Amino acid sequence: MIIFDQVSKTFPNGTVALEGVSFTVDPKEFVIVTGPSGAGKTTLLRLLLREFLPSGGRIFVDKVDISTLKKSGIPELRRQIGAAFQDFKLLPDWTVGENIGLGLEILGEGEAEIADRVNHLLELTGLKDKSPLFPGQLSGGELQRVVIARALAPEPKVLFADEPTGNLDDATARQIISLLKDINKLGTTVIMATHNPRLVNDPKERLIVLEKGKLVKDTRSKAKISSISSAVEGLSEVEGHKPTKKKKDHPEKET
Amino acid sequence: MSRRSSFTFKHMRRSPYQSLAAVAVLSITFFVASIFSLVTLGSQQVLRYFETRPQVTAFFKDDTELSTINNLKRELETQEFVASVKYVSKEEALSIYREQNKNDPLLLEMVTADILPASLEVSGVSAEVLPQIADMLGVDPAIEEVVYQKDVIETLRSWARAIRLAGLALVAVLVATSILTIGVIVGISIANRRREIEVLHLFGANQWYIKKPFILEGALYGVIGAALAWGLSYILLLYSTPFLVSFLGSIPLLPVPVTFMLAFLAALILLGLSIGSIGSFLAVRRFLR
Repeated sequence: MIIFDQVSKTFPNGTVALEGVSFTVDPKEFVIVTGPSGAGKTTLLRLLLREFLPSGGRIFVDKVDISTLKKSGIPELRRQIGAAFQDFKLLPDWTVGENIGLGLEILGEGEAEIADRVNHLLELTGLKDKSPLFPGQLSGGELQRVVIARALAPEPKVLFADEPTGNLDDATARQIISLLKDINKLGTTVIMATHNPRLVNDPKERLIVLEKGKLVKDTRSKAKISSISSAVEGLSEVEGHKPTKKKKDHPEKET
Repeated sequence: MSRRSSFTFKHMRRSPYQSLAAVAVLSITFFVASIFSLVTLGSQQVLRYFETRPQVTAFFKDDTELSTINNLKRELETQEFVASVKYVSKEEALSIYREQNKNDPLLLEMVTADILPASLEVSGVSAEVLPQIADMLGVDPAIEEVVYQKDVIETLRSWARAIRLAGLALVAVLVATSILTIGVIVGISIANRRREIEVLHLFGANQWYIKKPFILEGALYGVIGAALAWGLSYILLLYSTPFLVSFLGSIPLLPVPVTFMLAFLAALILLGLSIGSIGSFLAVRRFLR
């Protein structure tokens, strides 16, 4: 379970990226985070990966307040969250197969296990014959699939896809969303950040709307939303955390 | 070798000129260092050779009894600063004289064993004890004259000391330069792979996973540079052996045994490995905080 509890982020130049944002994401849930550019969607991902610390509030991943993690604990956190970045972050001189296997390499898996898992993901994402190619040889839609496959390789509990349909035509974008839904059906929690929620076109899906760093709408039932505070209080007692306190803003970058 | 380690070779292949420059600079550095090391070791050998030669020669008066000579010899042999004592009779002195002047019959004509004195050739444990031995022999009434190569040894010692000091200073400078060179090259390598490092961090790689290939890269440059330098210096040594043999005369320094050169290779590789690892470790500490 992921809990954002009154999370704020103000950058050193004074830009307020998030302001008092609270929501929870349950295991195996499919959540769409939407809002215009600059609403704070990418900041959510970066906070979740502990690229930097929130200026205020707390973020829990599986009952652990990630702000309290030591530097040595950050790699373990990041292995739990599969991130599909908006700017892809693919390594241009690594093949598609090598890029997808990156997370498994880091985990120290054997060559055979990596090959098996990569082949499976290539099949799942429809990239079966693309393994030996380099990212520069792929189309936008294919690149997005590689990014998703790479994020899924270490079998994370959560997949955070940041604008996975950003530069794609509608047909390809729908294919990507369909792929993300399939992944969710297989048991992975999916958080998809997009500025264009119309593409999802499914009123049953949960939608979180951000505007200028504030959460302005969450389609989850109010009863569930009100449970955030009780959930956090419960964790505070278990983990011995102190109540939310505004932290001094600093650019502490972890990567 | 782990897959991650194989990335070291991959990176080196993908920036061949950078790798070539690193290996070239380190080879030259280690080559100069190895030549100086060989010269220093050689000079120590030359000095040791002279130090173990008969250093003090005491010539006896003509009428000295053999028993007197033997008594003195036994007394010398009990001294801890004396390495060896050799008695040279008048007859042996004549044969040595004949051997040394065999090409000059004129010098041999008038000389008989009677006119050559018997002597004791005394080796000390070091050059420092030579005056002590000479003083001890000089007070003996049976001895006519005491001769020792005090100046030659002293000159050699000061030369050897100077070569050793200069060699050490040069090696220290070269080691520092090598560490700096590797540090800069690995630093460039890290800068070139900034994006890759960022991605690795984001996917949960720990510090050691990220640092390992860079430290290996530096160590590898050191080892390759050391091995090449050894090869170059061995070729140079073999090429100059005929000249050096005639220059050194009876000093048994050459040819250098293969076992010594193999031990020297091991030492150089160890040095290269250490320098490479230290240089890259410093770069990694500086650029991958």
